[in-house]
Amino acid sequence: MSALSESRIDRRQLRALLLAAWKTDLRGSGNPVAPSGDGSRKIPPVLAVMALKLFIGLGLGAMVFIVREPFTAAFLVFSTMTVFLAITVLLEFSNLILRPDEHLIIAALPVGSKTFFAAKMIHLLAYVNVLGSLICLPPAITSAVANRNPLLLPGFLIAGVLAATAMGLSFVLLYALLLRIVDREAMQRVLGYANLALTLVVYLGYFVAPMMLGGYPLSAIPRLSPGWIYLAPPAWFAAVVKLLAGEAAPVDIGASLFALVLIAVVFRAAMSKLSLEYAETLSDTIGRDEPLRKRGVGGRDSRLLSLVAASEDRAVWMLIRKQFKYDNRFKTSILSILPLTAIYVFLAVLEGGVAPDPFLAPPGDAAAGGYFLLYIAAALFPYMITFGTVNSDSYRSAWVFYASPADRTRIILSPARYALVWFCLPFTLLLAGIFTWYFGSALHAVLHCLVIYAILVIQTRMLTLMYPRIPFSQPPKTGQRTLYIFVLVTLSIIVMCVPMGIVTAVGYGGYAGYSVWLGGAMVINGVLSRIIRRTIPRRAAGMEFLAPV
Amino acid sequence: MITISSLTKSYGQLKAVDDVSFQIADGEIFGLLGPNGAGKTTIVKMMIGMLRPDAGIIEINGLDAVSRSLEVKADLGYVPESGALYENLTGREHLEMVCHLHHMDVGRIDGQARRLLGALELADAADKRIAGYSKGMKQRLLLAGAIIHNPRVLILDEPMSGLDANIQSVIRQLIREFVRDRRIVIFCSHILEVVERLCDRLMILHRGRKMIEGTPGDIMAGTETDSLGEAFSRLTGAADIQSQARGILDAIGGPQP
Repeated sequence: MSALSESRIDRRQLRALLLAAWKTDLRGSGNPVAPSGDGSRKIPPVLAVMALKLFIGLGLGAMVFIVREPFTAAFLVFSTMTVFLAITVLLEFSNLILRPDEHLIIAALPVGSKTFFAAKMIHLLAYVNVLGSLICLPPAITSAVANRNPLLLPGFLIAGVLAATAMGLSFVLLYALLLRIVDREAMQRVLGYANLALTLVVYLGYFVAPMMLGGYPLSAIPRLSPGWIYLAPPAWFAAVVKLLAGEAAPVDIGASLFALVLIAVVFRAAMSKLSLEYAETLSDTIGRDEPLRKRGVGGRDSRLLSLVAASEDRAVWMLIRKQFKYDNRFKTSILSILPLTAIYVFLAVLEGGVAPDPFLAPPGDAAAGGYFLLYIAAALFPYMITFGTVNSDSYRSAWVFYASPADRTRIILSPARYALVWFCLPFTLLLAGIFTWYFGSALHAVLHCLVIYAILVIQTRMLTLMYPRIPFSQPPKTGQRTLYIFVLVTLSIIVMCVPMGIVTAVGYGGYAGYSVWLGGAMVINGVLSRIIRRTIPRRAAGMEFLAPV
Repeated sequence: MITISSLTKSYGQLKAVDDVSFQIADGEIFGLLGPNGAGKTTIVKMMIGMLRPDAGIIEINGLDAVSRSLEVKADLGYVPESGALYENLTGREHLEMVCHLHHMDVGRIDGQARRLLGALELADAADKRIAGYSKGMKQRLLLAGAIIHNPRVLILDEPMSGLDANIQSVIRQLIREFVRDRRIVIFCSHILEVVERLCDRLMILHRGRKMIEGTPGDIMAGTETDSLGEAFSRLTGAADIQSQARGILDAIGGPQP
């Protein structure tokens, strides 16, 4: 009897489940709601994510060339890789770990718990290992060349696979434990906040690690030799590199063993915790009806909203609020930005020093650059909300926007308006408070924040022009969110930080200069608004609903 | 009045709707019949504005459904076959959203929604998430959403699906009452007995093409058959039903001993 059948895993079912999962991942995003002629095959997001990870690997490869020493280089590479993979798993968790509809699909079929779970586990591990290997490949080659030791190439790759496996298994175990210990009634809420907490931990790791090494040029990073470094899991896998390269000291052999024991323990624990019942629990959780506060329609909220928003906005905004409350995928996408924003604000306040008042002579103080993180944080909101409101498990329900006499252009613009009113405006007010503290002038802070808000409006309009979509109308795809995060962060930096960089460098040049800045932003907004009015209705009219009704 | 002229729509090489023309007079219940993939849903989707025709004209109440789609849809209600609803909303919130999309007066929404939910026996579930609704409840909610704005044209795609016999009778009567003041109902269904009893006229489609159009009696006479079912089978080229059933059993190894 094979090992597979001994553990009650059905080999054929496992193959079928894995093939289904991989085909789903790798097929291009044929849009069920798409502009005419948009049904052509596209590059699957998962391949774009792979390219992105390889790009990160190239950066790490350059770093390894400078650092050289294998253990130190491997420690830095595995630390970075683990953080990036953890972010990926967090962003894609509803595709990789928790798929609410999975139970509905599988429950009626004679698939055993172990088989189901093995398929989930292999799918996740294959994903993180492929991405991990792409991150590790350039540093592995660089390290082997720089140290003239070819064994470092397989050493890096094998240790990287082990590190990625340990990270993936840890996540599975964590979610499985959560599903066991938390009351089903509370699970819906807890899952969202658990992701929030995990995101905070991951992002903190991402920022704390560079802070620990900060201030040193890479070439000056000391060889990481103190004993305490072995308390950090990446060091255990860095020790594996040394072991496989034939350079291991006794402590490295011990650390390597620790890495293997870690994987074995986590694998065994996860295997015993997760099952088809886990999917059932999840399905039950998602479908569970929490007690709702009874209220009439057309109540206070609607009447207030009717003063500021069109009918289409009211309809879409209500949908966004409800999706946020009950759709874990959407909730996680929005909540994941909050820890990042909090960290940015914290670091900006901690490191930014006294930000230069752009109405006074610019001091050109390099230390003041820290508060640029505030601009990036502000810039993330429009992208996150507009992208977050595109993909949904409920995409088939978007027929309602086609069958009603709603202005499709307004429907497309509604999420951006929602972001501007409910996220950008409060955050800009928060910034006004922070800048009042920095500048010592509330007036200057408010005026400066007006420019920031105008840039945020520019961003949302550009985004609408680049990616006009009916909200909650596209099916989710593995890898899509990771790719979007990369794109949106890049765009945020460009659109927000370039003008703010100029303001920091040369200042507004007094109130007259400020008027030029604000006027310029308003002119750009006007031009973009005109382009939107001309192009979006045409593109909206060309959109077709191809999903089954 | 609805006028469809030379309507055509292709998906790549496949002609889903091929040069189809028909008219529906005010006050008529019009049946749209055809086997799966015949093009019924594609025609409906083009009438509603979900798809753009490759060629042809769709005129509803004197308005072009492509160039003046918002005006057309303001007077149109639609019940889709899939029952797709945003399940995180409550029934009441779904109606509220639909009312907003129809630009209904905010002050009117509450009373209208309450009355309609009550009439469709959904009052107790009004403040529960749609995720917890049965298929029949979802179907009734879809119907509520389709008529809450009091449209002149109602398009129903398998509206009886999941409904119990009593509610089906109510819906049938509602449809008859609905057309009494010269409104139009388009009724897509695979239940031929219901279509035969309910529809004034009907059209049978096959592989995107119109096969026949007329009253149920005209169609039976035209095909020299005794029932709509027989006429349907003859027009859509169904194989001998008995031998097809036998073929299916043979494919899985024949009848069990």
